[in-house]
Amino acid sequence: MSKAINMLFSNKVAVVNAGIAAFADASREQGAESVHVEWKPPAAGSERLIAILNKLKKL
Amino acid sequence: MSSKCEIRKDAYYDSVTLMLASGKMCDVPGVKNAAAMMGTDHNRALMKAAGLIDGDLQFSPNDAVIGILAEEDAAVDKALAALDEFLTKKAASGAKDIKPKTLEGAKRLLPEANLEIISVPGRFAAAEAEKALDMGMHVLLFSDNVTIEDEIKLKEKAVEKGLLMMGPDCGTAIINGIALGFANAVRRGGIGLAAAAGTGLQEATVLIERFGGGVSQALGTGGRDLKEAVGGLMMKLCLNALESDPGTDTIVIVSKPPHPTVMAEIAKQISAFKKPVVSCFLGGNPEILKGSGAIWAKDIESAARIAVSLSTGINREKEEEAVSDFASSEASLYKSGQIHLRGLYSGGTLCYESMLALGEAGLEIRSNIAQDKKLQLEDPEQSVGHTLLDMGDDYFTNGMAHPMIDPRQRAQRVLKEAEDPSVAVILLDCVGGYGSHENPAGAIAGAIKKAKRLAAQEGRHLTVVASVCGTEGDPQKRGDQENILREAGAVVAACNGDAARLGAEIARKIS
Repeated sequence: MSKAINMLFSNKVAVVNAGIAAFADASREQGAESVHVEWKPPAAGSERLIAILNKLKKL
Repeated sequence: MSSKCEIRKDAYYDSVTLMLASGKMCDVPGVKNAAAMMGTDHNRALMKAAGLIDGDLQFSPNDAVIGILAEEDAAVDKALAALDEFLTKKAASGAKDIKPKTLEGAKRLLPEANLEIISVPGRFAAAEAEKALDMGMHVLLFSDNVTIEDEIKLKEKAVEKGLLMMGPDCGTAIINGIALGFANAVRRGGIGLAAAAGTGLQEATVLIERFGGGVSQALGTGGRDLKEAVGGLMMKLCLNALESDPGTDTIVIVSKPPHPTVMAEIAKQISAFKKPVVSCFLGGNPEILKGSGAIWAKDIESAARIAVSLSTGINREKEEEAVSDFASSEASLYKSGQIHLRGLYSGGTLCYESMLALGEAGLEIRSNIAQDKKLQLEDPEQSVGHTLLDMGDDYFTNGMAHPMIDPRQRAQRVLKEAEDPSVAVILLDCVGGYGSHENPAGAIAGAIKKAKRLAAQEGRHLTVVASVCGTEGDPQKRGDQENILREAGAVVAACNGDAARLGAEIARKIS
């Protein structure tokens, strides 16, 4: 087993949730630590701006 | 009649919030129909078809679009007020929590975070997953509409780092007893599962609990993992993890049959395992396991029974029910021409499992997820002959919440099928657990009652057969869900496979 999976199986699950907020609530209800990200589409969702940002990231 | 369209520029809400907000508007007296949706092309088509917006209205996928049809202007105003009240309350309820805007911000707030659940729109999901993997976090990628190229890239990175990259289109996992995504509250125990089948994994875990066993870890890989292109990258990683996990004594695999080259690699991998492996490759041939040492299970229920027996020594015999007598008595009630079965599923694997059971009984089943091109439905909106629909498939969910969360499309479809005079039986699943609708049986019960009433008005008898995928520990409680379905007039089978077999028996009697 990889070290990272071993760490996951032998520690508490701590969740970051991006998207459907109910999934963060469900983790919390079961006693897991959980943080919900107030996610919004990058570059206000503009496909053109996202493509430019992706190109810049690769530089 | 009064109507109103409103566009809220750059206002992003997740699909569940918008579904609930739409419900608040529809609850206002005098409102005929109302919806609030993100402005994707698919939602534009849905709202246009429902007469809620004009076709040429200008908006982008990042705008929230509201459409209301009501008897009078006052009802429109009240609906908008109800929407705003709901959204304001929702914002206020979470205001005390610090909500970071990025994964980096969340990680600063919760440095021990070790897993990200991602359910953002598909076109943004791969970038979010890559960021998580780069930060050393495991990923449950719920989003669909992620390209296979992106999936391969993400999984290669995950394998290199030894991280779980469950998905895309992976709805279910249980890690250390915590149900993630759509998953049920099941007893902890020694059975570890790896599945390329979301509701297949849910059904397997709930049946394991029902037969007396428990679950160590339940890992999803996403439905495409065992295709040749992806090469089972995540399945192989998960299987090795379960073999090494001291908390796991028995391994279960649930999936459609892998591509032959992927299967050969998996067979070689598990042939070296010390723990027993129970394999349920739905629709496959036992020969594919040759040389692997794995135990073949013909369906999910068998896999659960065998695994529980191996893990705990408990052998719970299947109770034989008087299926044949019941089928005969139902068949005697149909009007001439009532010869077809229709299945409306929120779970893809449950739909597929039912297709196999009915196919085994010699029925020709059409479906939106049929693998045989000849049996694929030309138009998912129109059932033909015996039809089973996976209503969680992309066609139905693009821009809409999954039917396990938002039951409205399925409830409407139940009524549509009931209007068809050739229909005798409607098969339904009812999936409980975390992440699902708070009362899935209650959400479909009204449609079941109305469907039976509609048929009765035309002198027809309609049989509705349902099964609940859930446990008593789930927020919805399995027993309560079954009672709601029975009270609505449905016959409740013990599991999905039994529901399909009952449907097949009825079909055999009437053909």
